[in-house]
Amino acid sequence: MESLIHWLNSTALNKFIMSEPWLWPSLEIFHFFGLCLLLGSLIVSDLRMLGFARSVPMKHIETFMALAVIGFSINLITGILFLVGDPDRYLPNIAFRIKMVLIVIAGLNVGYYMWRLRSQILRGLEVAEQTGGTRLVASLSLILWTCIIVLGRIIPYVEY
Amino acid sequence: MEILWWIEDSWLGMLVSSSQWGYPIVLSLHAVGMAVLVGVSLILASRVLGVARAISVTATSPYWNVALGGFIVNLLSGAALFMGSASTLFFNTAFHIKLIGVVIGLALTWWLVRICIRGDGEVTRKHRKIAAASIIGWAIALIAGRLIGYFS
Repeated sequence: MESLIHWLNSTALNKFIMSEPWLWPSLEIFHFFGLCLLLGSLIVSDLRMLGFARSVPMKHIETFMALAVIGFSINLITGILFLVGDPDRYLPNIAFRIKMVLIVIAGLNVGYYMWRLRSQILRGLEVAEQTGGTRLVASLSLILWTCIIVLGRIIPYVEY
Repeated sequence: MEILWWIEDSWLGMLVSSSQWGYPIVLSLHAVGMAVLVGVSLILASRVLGVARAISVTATSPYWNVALGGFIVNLLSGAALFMGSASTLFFNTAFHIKLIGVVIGLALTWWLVRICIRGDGEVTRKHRKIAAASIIGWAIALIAGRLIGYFS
């Protein structure tokens, strides 16, 4: 951990991120925009999987997922730049660490969706006809990402 | 501007500004409310602009109520955050611009819902212009909102 922080602090990218005063707030703005895109598109598909907005065809709920992927990608890139720019602030921080664990769990949740639920949804089966815990997967997705947003927001206020 | 001091000294103002967890909790609510309000509004605007055409534009109308839920959360959490720092926020330029951005984003999204998303399913050039302008409004709100801390 110490050596990783030391190494990140010695990189040229770290120097660049910290030397440009406009860059950090710009990255923050993109990070906020990305999280809005991500949660917004997840709300559309996850709530549909929970029985909301039934006039949205089940087999098409993935069509907004392109925006979720764009939002996640923006936040992955800006997030890595935060980490490289100020590793002392993030790596030892308990809120940051739990946030990373929850992102991995949310990823596994997506993996399970791909493996077990996706084909049923693309066939247009309604929730009641699906097997494999559609409601649980959708609820977990919304709960996890809400927690991830909260944990990210409280990073500066948590003493590690 | 004595009233600003009075607001800060109120019970809620003190809870937000001076208790250990008041500020981070209200700030977290504000972040989640933003994600719901702005996130869903961006999705509604994207659909009008042509994303996910397989879903009819009118089918997305129930999600507007979800966005409004986010707005209520942020109106309340935003009021609480203001009470915690009324005397500085009142004079903060980024805060003023943010409020203008929120009004633009909210008003245009609402207008879009009324004339297009709850309409007959047809999307006109005018609808697309409103959708694009609503995204610009939300972008102003997001950018200025993030900069409030840098202006004080």
